[in-house]
Amino acid sequence: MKINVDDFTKFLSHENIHAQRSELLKFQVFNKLPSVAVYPESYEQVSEIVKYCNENGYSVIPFGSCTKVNFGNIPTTYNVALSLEKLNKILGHNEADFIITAQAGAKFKDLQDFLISKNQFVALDPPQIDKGATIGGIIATNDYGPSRFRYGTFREQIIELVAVGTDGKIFKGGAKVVKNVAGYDIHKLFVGSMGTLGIILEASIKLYPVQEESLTFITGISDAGMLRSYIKKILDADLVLSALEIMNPELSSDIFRLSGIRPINFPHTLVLRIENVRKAVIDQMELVKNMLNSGGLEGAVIENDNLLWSYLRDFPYAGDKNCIACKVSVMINEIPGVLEYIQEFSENLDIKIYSSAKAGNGIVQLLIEGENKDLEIAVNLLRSYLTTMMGSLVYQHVPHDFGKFNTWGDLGASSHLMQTLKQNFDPNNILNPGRLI
Amino acid sequence: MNANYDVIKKRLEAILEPESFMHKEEEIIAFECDALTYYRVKPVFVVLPSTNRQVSEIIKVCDEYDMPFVPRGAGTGLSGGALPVDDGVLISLAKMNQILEIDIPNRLVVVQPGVINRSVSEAVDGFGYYYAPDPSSQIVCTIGGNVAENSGGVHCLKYGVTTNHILGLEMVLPNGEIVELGGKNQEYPGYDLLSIVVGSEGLLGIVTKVILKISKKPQLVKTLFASFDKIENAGSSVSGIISNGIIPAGMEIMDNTCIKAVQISVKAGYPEDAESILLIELDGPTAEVEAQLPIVENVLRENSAIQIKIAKDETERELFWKGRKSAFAAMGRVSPDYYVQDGVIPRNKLAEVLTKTKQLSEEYGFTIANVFHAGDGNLHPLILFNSENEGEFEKVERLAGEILRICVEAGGSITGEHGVGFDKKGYIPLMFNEDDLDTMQLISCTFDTKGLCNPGKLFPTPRSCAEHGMTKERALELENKVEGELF
Repeated sequence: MKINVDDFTKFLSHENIHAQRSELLKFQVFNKLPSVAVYPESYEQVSEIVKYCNENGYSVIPFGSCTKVNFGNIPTTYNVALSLEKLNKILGHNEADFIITAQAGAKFKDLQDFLISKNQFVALDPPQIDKGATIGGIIATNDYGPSRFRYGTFREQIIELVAVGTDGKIFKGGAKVVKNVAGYDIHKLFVGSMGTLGIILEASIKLYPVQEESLTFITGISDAGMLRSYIKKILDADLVLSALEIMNPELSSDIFRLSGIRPINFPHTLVLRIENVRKAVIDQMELVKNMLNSGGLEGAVIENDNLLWSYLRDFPYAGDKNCIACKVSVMINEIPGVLEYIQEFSENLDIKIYSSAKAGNGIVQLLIEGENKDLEIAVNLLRSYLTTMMGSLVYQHVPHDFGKFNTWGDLGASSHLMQTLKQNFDPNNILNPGRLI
Repeated sequence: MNANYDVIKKRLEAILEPESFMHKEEEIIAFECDALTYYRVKPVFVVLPSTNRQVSEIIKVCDEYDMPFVPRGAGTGLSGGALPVDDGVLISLAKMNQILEIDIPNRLVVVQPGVINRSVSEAVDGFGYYYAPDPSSQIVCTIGGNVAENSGGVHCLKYGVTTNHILGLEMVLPNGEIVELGGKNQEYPGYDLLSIVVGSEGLLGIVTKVILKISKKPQLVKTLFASFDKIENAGSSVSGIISNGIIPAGMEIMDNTCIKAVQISVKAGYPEDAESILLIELDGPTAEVEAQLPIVENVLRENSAIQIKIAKDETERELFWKGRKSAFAAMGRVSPDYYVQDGVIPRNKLAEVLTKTKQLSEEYGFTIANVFHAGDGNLHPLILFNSENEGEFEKVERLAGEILRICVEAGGSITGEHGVGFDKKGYIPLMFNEDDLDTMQLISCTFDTKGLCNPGKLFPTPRSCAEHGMTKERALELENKVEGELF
């Protein structure tokens, strides 16, 4: 489709319209380049752009800092890259009410740094924040990190959302209060909607007080049976954990080396974090040590644990190697079995797997390195294994030249409702077409 | 009356056991309202299905004859969400009351919608678990109703509301189709339709099975209250506690009118002369609670607490809570009637909103008692009145509306946990403009193209979906049929 780039001058100044190939490269999605990239500076401009594209059948992909471009299916069509880079303000911080409002293009790290200076924080630790991951992008992709165990995902943190629909309407869902049941929870629906229902403009987010102390406990576990019993013990114990991760040796040796911790060589490395007022952390850590030591496990308490958790937060980081990053979701008690399976099948393939399991959430993050053909065998094997337990596997990154693939797998028994929803919100299928639905 | 009355009756009778189908006036009368008793409407039929198949068959009949239908749990809702439609079917889920599965290793329980909230906790208590959302009506209200209203409770500051504790559900869509959303895992690919259905006030379909997350019971619970001679000090204690990095399980403020009424009815041990009291519950591992308690006491003293009382045992703890939980009922001791509102305000606006409420109270000549979920800004003003007096209820409704306006102007919401329902749909435009409501309509139309499922609730004026749908005339007709009845 030929796009009339000049038409955008009706809504935008020239410096906010980029059509040179060199300027468009960062918006490449797999093998597709847009004809134009636009940088609106106001909600009204976003509204006009989307409305115009809708009327002309131009497909639009929204971007924050382009940190997750290989997440989602290959778009069926792609004409306009809509960057929210210039809508990046913190609009308000109600310090006394623990609520912050920011525009979609605001960088998560800027927001978090600002809040930490006020002794508050957004209770999320998604990856890529050092690379500029934005509020809008994190909401759209439902990205999260190890603290999901205690605080949940963006769905738990977002209280209000403002977005633009395909007809150019600017709408909101929710309210700037922490408890509210008026109207449908559109703000929650947009979490993980991959930019396919509307363009996110701004979000209001619940905040938490910074915790006084943080300590981490690390121990190695030698087999799946023991792992199963220790996960159960820990989940049943009277502890408030911030995070509980089980790393495989490939990942733990990498992360420990990077964080300056002496590596331990076990099939599974269990890492748990406790954050609270100081005395509560110290007392609970004693309980952890006693509980695990009595089972014959030796472990170490890590004091300055921020570096360790920032590496875990950024996993799976796509390095220079050809790789797939993905997440597996199963029931909590399937985790040891899944980890065992992953270990076994990776030995028979020419691939290298890094993994970390969120043991309390039934989620395993994986980074699989190898040639495309081996990667394909690996993910197909995993997916068919997971169908036996109603599990799912979603790709978060695939190589540019991976060929045909399905990011999401089976969307389940309500997929027709999802299709109808998409059709109602985006009847001309112009928003990120094909990437999710 | 639907022209196909006889055919529909026959069809429904064929689906249900005789005792599960009602159409006589004396049988239906018990279903004419929920806990918002000011509005009453008699439905044409009342049905009590026992299986999802039956629900589906009933809805298929409704769909075929364009007959509206309204789902109902225990009828404890305070916003008229289960108010029947006068030419429709009322579908009570009371007979679908089985706990289907308890899965401790995966921390979940599968229930039918008619299961009572409290019985979920009771069923897993022996394993050391409980179901966290605890609305005050938890000994009678059902999980299906909780899902519809996204119910909260007194512990939602720390543990969240219903939507944070639902993993999956099965529902019958308004065309009779049975679908499943979510499941036993914590994450599924695709749109988060669960987040929309929970809290949709029964407008999107009828939930027939729910997968609930259960939580581990806290090792130690400490409950205390502090009294103040200024309600502002109670308010600033709340933010002081949170700023110290402590999220209590619950924080409740009561004003003097409320304290007095409670003392008359249950003798909870509250100081009657206090301007306000702040009730606090800390829970969690012993190591955590014991470390937090002295910090909390410090904050209270810094904020000029007159008295701080820590419950010395479980009996006293229960008494402290009994006072709070019976606050609504206690109003019956001091006033013939009361009207409860459910506004939410930013937590730092408490003093400002209370001052304005007080002005309104004087202006309208009604006493207003205040109970406040202080941790999450959810205010329950109780307007005391006498419905025997001509025209008082109408005045009270206007006053209640004014209070909601103040809450929204302060940056809040018209409802924190009771839902919009029939009662507050007229106030929805205070929060959402036409574009917001048009967008919500896209969701309604995804599930219910004809607008047959719980019509006349949540939205001020029904909108039609592109092809089918309710006309404005039909909406007005429905509106006029609801009697504003005083009891």
